Amino acid sequence: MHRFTRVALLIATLIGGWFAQPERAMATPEEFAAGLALIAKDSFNDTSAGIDLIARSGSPHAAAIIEALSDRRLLVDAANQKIFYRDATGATRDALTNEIVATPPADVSTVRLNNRVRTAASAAIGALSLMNPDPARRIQAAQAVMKSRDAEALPVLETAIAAEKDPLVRTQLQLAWAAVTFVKKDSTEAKRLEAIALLDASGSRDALSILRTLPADTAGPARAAANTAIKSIEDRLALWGYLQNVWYGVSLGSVLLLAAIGLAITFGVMGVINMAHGEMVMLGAYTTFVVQDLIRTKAPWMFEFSLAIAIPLAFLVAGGVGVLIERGVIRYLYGRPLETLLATWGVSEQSRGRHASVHVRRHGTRRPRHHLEPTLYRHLCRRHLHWPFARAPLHATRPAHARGDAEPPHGILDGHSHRPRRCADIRPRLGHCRTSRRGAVSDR
Amino acid sequence: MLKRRNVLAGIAAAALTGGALLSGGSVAFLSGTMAISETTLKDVMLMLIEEQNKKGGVLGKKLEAVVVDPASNWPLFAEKARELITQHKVAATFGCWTSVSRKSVLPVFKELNNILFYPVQYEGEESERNVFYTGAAPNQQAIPAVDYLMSKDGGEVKRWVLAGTDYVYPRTTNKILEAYLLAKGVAKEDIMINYTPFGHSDWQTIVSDIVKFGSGGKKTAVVSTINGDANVPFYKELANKGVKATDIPVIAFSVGEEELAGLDTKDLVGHLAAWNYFQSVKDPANAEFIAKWKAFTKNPKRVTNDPMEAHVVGFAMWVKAVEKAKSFDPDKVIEALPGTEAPNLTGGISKMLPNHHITKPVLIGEIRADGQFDVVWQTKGLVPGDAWTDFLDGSKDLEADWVGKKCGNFNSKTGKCGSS
Repeated sequence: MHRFTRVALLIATLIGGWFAQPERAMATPEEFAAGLALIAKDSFNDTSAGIDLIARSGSPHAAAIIEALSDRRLLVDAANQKIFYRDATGATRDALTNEIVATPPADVSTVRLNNRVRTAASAAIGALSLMNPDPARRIQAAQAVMKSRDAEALPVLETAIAAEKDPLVRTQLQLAWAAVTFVKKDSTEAKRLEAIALLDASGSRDALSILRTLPADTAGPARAAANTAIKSIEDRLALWGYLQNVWYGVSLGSVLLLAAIGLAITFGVMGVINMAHGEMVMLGAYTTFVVQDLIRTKAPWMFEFSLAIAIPLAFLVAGGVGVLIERGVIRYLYGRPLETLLATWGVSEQSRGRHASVHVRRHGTRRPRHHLEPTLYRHLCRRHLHWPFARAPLHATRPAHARGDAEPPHGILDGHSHRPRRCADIRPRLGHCRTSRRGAVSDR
Repeated sequence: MLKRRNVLAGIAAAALTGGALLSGGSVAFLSGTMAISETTLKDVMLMLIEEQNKKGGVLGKKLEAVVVDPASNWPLFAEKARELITQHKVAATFGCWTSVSRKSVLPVFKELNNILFYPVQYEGEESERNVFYTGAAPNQQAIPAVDYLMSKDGGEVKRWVLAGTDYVYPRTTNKILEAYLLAKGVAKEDIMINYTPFGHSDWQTIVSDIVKFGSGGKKTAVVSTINGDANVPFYKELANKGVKATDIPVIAFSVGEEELAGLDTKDLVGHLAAWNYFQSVKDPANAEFIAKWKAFTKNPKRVTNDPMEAHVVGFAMWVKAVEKAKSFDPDKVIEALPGTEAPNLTGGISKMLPNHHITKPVLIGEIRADGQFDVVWQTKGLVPGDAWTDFLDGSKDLEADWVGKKCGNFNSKTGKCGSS
C-alpha cells in the first residue's frame, strides 16, 4: 500500500512538473545547423558535440538524422561541408532542409563512428524517442537514457512517465528516471531515496552499477540506503549466479550425455568402439551450419525454420557417413574389435585439421544464443567420453543378430573396463554373470 | 576461426639459377591439411616471391619458396627449421606465429646462423642477432591501445580486464600492461587478470565474471590477448550476454580481418583491435596490394591482415639488404639489414632499427558489421619498436643494439652486455 501511495505521489509531482515547463521543445534552427556543421567536420569530438546540439534543437527530423548517423547512413560532402542522409527508402536527403536531392554529390563519405559517438547517439535517440508511439521503442529509449544518465533528459522523462499507460514501459521509464536522479548532483535527498528504492526493486546489474557510482564521501541516509540496496541486489544476483551455473552445467552436461548415449548405442548394437564418434557429432553440427548458411543467403525469410530443416538433414548426413564407414571399413572388421577401434580412429584422424569453428543461430531474428562448436564436441568426445563410457554398453541391450555377427570384444581393454564388458558379452551364455553383476545388467 | 597451424616459409635462393625451378613439390604436401589462417602467411610469401622472380629475382637469381608445416607442434618447429636450413639451404626464413614456436626455433637459427623474419605482434623482451621482428613490440600495440581506452575518445576506461590465452605472449604482455596501468594510477582491485587454455570454449562463467566486474560503477574494458580458436566462443558469449561495445569494449591484439571472417560480426560492432595495419586503410599502396592478393588467390573475398603486411615489409627489406650486401650470406645480410627502409601499406616508410625491430604506425580499429575495421585512432608518425619494455624492472635498463654494441641486451646501468 505504502508503495502505491509513493508512486501516486511521484506521478502527481511529475504531472506538476510537466505543466510547469511549457517553454521546452522550442525549435532552434541555429542550433540544428550548428550541429550539422560540427558533424560535417567528421572528427569524433565534433560529431558528439553536434549530436547534442541537434538533439537539443527540437527539430522534427533530429531523430531521423541521429538514427541515420548510428546506422552509417549519414553522408558528408567534405568539400562543401554539407551533410546528407539516406532515408529508409534509400533516397538521399539534404540534412539541413530535409529535401530529397536528385543528384547527390559524387564525393561523399559516411560519417565515421566510434563507441563514444555511438553512445552519444543512442542517448540522444533515447531522449528523443521517449514519447514514441511504439512501446518497444519507448523501452529502448528508457534503457538508453538509463545508460547515459543524462540530466537533460529528466524533464522529458518525467513527462513520459506521466503519460505512460503501459505498466512495463512505465517501470523502465521510472528506472531511467531513478538512474538520472540518483546520479544528478543536485537531486534532493528525498528524490534520491526514491531513486534508490526503485533501483533496489529492479535488482538488475545495471542498477547495481549505478548505485556503486555514489561518491565515497556521501553521508547521510542516502549512503545507508544505497549500501543496503547494493547488498540486497548483490545477494539476489549471487543466487541467480548459482542457478545460472547449475543451468550451464545441465546444458553442457546434456550435450555430453547425448554424445555418450550415441557412443553407447553404437557399441551396444554393433560391438564397435567408434573412435570417430566425435566426428559424427561434428558432421551433424556442420550440417546445421551449412543449412543455415544456405538459407541465410538464398532464402532469408525461411530462417525461422532453419533448425527444423537442419535437424532431419543432420540425421541423414551423419547416418549416411556412418553407413559409408560401415560399408567401406567396418564390415570387413566385424569380430575384430581392436581393428575396428583402430580403423575408426584412423577415420577420425583423417578428418583432423579440416574443421573450423562456426556459428549456429537458434533463431533468425533474435540474438544468437546457441554456440555449437564442433571442435569442442570432437575433442571432448575423444578425450573424455570414450574411456569412461566404455562401460555404458553394459546397460544397452544388444539385438540378437548383432550378437551373431560380432564376436564379443574380449580382452581388448585391460583394467576395470575389461571385466564388466567381458561379463556382459558372454552373459547370454553364462547365466551366472547376471547374479554377479548385482543387477547392473538389464534383464531381458 | 581456425586452429592456428604455424608455417615457416623459407626462401632457398643460393645455388639455384634459371627459371626451371620446381617449387611445387614441397608446397603441395601442405595443401590438404592446411587451414586457411595458416595458408595466408604462406600464400603471401609465395606471392611476393613470384612477383620478385618476375622482376628478375634477386642478384640475378630466381628465388624458390620452400614451405614446411610443423603442425602446431612446438618441438617440431625446431626440427623443421633445421631441415629448412641444412637440407634446403634457405637464405632466409619467414614465419612462425606464436611466441612458443619462435622460442622453439631460436636455438636452431643461432646455431646454424641463419635469418628468421617473425611477422606477428609479440611480447618483446627479446632481441636476437638472427631474428628480425617485423611484428609489433608491446610499445607498438599494447601500450597505445591502453592509452587510447584511457583517452576521452576511448571512453575513459577506469577498470581493466586483462584476458589472455595461457602462454608466454599474453602472460608477458599482461605483466607489462599491469605494470603500466599501476604506474598510471589504476588501483590493483581495478585490474582483473584471467588466463584460459588454447582453444578454450566454455566462456559462460568467465564472461559472467567480466560482466560482474564491469558493474563496479566505473567504465570497464577488456584487453584481450586471447589467441586463435577461443575467440569465436568468447565473442559469441559476450553477444549472448548482451554486452555491447558501448558497455564493455573489448580491445584485441590477436583478432584481425582473417579471424573475423569466420564470425558473425553483427553483434561485435564497436569492439576494437589494435594493429599496425588494417585492410580498410585508404592508401594507394594498400589498394594495389589488396588487388594483387585477390588476383593471386583467385578469391575476391580473401582478406588481408596485419602479419601479412609485416611479411611484405620484411621481404622488401630482405631483398634490399641482399642487394646492398651483394650476397645471400646470412652474416652479410644481417649486417646490411639495420637501416634498410621499405614502404609499408599504410603510407609510411618503415625502417629496420639496430635492435632488429621496425618502425610502424599504430592504428586502433573498431569492428564494422562487414567484418572490416574502421580506423578510429592512429599515431601521428611511425613508432620505433622497443625490444625491452620500459615498464618492467630488469627490462627497463636493457637496450638492444646490433650495430654499435653488437648486443641484444645491453645493460645501460652496468655498461655490460647481458641481462643480469
